[in-house]
Amino acid sequence: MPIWEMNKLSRIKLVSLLIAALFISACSESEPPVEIESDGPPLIPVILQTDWYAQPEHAGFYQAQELGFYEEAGFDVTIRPGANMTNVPQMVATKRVQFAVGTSDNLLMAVSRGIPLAAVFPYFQHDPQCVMVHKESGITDLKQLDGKTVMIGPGTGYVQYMQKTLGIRLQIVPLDYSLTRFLANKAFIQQCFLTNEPFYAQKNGVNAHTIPLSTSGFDPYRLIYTNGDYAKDNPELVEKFVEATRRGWEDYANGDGAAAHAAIAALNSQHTDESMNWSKNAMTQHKLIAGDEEKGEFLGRFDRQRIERMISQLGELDMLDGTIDVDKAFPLGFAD
Amino acid sequence: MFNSLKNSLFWPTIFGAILISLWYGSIALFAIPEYQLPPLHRIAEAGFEERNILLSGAGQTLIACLIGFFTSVFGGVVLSVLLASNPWAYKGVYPYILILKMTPVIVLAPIVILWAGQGLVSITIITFLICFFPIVVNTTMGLRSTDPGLVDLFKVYNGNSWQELLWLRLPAALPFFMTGLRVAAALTPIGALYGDTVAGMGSSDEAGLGFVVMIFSAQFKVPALFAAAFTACSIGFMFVGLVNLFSWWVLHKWHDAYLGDE
Repeated sequence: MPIWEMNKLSRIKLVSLLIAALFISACSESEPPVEIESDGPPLIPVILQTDWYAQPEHAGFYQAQELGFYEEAGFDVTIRPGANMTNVPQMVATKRVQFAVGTSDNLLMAVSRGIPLAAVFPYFQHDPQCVMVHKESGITDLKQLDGKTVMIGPGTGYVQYMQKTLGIRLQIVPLDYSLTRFLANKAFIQQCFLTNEPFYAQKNGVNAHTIPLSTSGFDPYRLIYTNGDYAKDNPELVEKFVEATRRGWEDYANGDGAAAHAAIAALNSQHTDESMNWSKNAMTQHKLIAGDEEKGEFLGRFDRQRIERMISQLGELDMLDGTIDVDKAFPLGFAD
Repeated sequence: MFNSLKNSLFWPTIFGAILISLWYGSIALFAIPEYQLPPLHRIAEAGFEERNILLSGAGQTLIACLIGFFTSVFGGVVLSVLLASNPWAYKGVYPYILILKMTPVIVLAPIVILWAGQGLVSITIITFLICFFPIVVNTTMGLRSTDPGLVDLFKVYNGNSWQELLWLRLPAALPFFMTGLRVAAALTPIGALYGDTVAGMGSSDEAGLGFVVMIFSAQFKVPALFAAAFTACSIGFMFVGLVNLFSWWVLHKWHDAYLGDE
């Protein structure tokens, strides 16, 4: 019967039921599923929040998941893709997710603003950010971007650093995460990953040339981080997770990465074997995962000097809000 | 007069005080960190620190608002006159205007940018797309709602259709037009700010407010983000306030809605 013909008690019951249903649906943040293994101790559910849809730049994590490294370490990991999310540091800080993907410059900025984060593992020794130009434009150096229109993230560390250090001014256009304008306009310049967009540009007949943003001297790590208190209270858990992640990335880098590629292709139909193998080769070519052996870099190494350089660079740009306790922000220490 | 001013300020002040205490209360009660919900004084501090970039951003956005708004008004009125002048034009064209209105601007924006490039032109077109509909709908209704008795009177005095339009229909449509104007004024800042985030251009100190918001977001400057939001809000208020003032100036001497207040 319609609500206005019910008696008062039934109406109250119906409305309370509706409100309760609303609360329950609002409150159930998708918790990671708790799986009870019939043999052995239960796996600890953990969410790893990434910063894009499933892609080969996250392959090491998928490799670790597919080959059971996480399970062996006692974790039931949910790799959660997340594109264009600006509040991931807050999600980690409020423990809604346990681990997240990020870069060392953003991590240091967030830590300086009091967001309690701790970096635990660099999976790329160098951030694959670059600018992509048409070869015909003749641009081979970042200095030549002065006065040009560039599609790049406004206000980000590398943009501010590039402009200040090289003494150039860019006309910044917000990212639209597509290649349409680049393909249509030979003078168009955009920010992208060394491991991704150039492949699609070449496929569409464009002679693309990339300039890594790290050539400006601003060279962040790509890393995973967790909540600072979580790292302090559960150091063995964090170390186990990091070790499993390292195994995954090592296996991916030294092998053919087939397991990870299969998982990524299943989640994101945009990626084919061809595109993912190209990405993997680009990672090797640009020495992203294990870095430059000659400089003493290896997979999973945090170099304290590089971190301190980044802190002083960010300080020069006025992007920090106070001092940073480096040992607190990097609880697993610096390997040599 | 001062009595009514006092009255109209009293309740908002009381409610404002309640809101402020709720703000600080929840921060204290739930131990909300600054990067989730900054306290108001921190927002004011950040606003002061970033005042240069906020002011230049507000200026840029205001310019985009004004250009977008006047383009919408002009285009909207022209469109309305065309639609109202011919019943077949109305029946034929209006559905397509509806289709344009129903397509979300978020979907149209990339297409606009592809054709019009980055910068003020695209932002103006996006603002136009958001604002023109209320103006067209209201003005067309106004133009078609002229008292038929007066229309007949014009015919009796041998007025041609141009004179009818200029001296009868347009003035009679003014109140309707003003309503559309006020709605469009409220929507214009949204258009300009959204346009900024997709079609904006500039180095950090030439940016509009939408751009500034993106920069603060990238740098985790949460109190500054809130300050930018408040700045955007005040631009909206200023804009709507100006239009309301204009509306009062045009109509207050003769329209029932205003005469009734006294």
